[in-house]
Amino acid sequence: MSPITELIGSVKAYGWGNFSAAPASFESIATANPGNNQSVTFSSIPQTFAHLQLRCSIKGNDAGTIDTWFLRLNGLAPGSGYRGHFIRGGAGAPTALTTSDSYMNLGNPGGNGNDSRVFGSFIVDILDYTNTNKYKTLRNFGGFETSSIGRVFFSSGFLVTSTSAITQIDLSGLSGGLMNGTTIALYGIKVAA
Amino acid sequence: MAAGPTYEPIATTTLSSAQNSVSFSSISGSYTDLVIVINGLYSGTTYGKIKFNSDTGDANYSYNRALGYSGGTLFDRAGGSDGISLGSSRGTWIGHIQNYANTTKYKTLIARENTATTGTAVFVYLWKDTSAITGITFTGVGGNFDSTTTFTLYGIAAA
Repeated sequence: MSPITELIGSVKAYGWGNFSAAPASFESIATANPGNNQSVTFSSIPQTFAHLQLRCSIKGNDAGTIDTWFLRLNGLAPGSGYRGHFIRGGAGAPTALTTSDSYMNLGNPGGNGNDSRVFGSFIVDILDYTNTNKYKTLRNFGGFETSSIGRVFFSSGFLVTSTSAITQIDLSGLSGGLMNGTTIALYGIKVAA
Repeated sequence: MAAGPTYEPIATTTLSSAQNSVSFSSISGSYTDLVIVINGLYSGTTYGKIKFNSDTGDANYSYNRALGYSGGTLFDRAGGSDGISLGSSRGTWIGHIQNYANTTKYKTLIARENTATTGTAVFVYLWKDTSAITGITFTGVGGNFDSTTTFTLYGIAAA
């Protein structure tokens, strides 16, 4: 089986000319498997990709059924520096909110009070992470489901205080770290030259 | 640091005629995540359903959903169903199953559904079973999947 994420590029200004396939572009960079109440840091992220994707199977440390987890870029924690919007559903009234915190709110992965076999699932995309002229915009969706409660979360956000290339990503829960069994995999995506 | 290219096609089925059921079997456990892509046409009011392995239980699946449609927004959840429900019209459904071969976790699946007539939605599903997923069955309920519907399965391997 061959990789499928081949790129078609070089579309000229006029017509359809010059499509060509580039090498496979979706690559695994690193995977973190934190122990109980531990945070995750990806550092020295290679600058050779165009985009990053985090694929996460996670549980928070909160003793209840719902935790909130978050992300920081390059170790930065400016007050109100991470801005975003999210829509959340699954129980009770729907929620659509603006966020402005020292971290990027990534939603609810479920807490440690749930069945030990239940883990939330999230996918976070970070585009143009090496660009030094843009604020870094994130897209995130996921949630958790236990068969009795759950949350679904869809959000976007960005860091307004820095245009630096992203070389480090920190992930943790608001009630402490993440729980054993959590896996967070970082991937890089290339584009055609 | 990078471990090399991944995100590989495992299997694809394109229907040449209307069909009620499609299955992927003997799925390798060598990946970390599975991605299911359905570009589907459903007849009439038919909707699709997904079940894993040889599960015959009628209450092992649950979901919560955020849906935007012509009538506004809908947020709901339901437990104890007999499969993962797909949309009921022309559309695309993309689902992600992380740690699908893990045998200590229930299987959580997140999905986005975009249908031309019923709206766009984000789902979180749970299959309340710790078995590794080795088979996936798609079934039309009340009708068939139409001709030209495609079902594709990809595998992603983490470092």
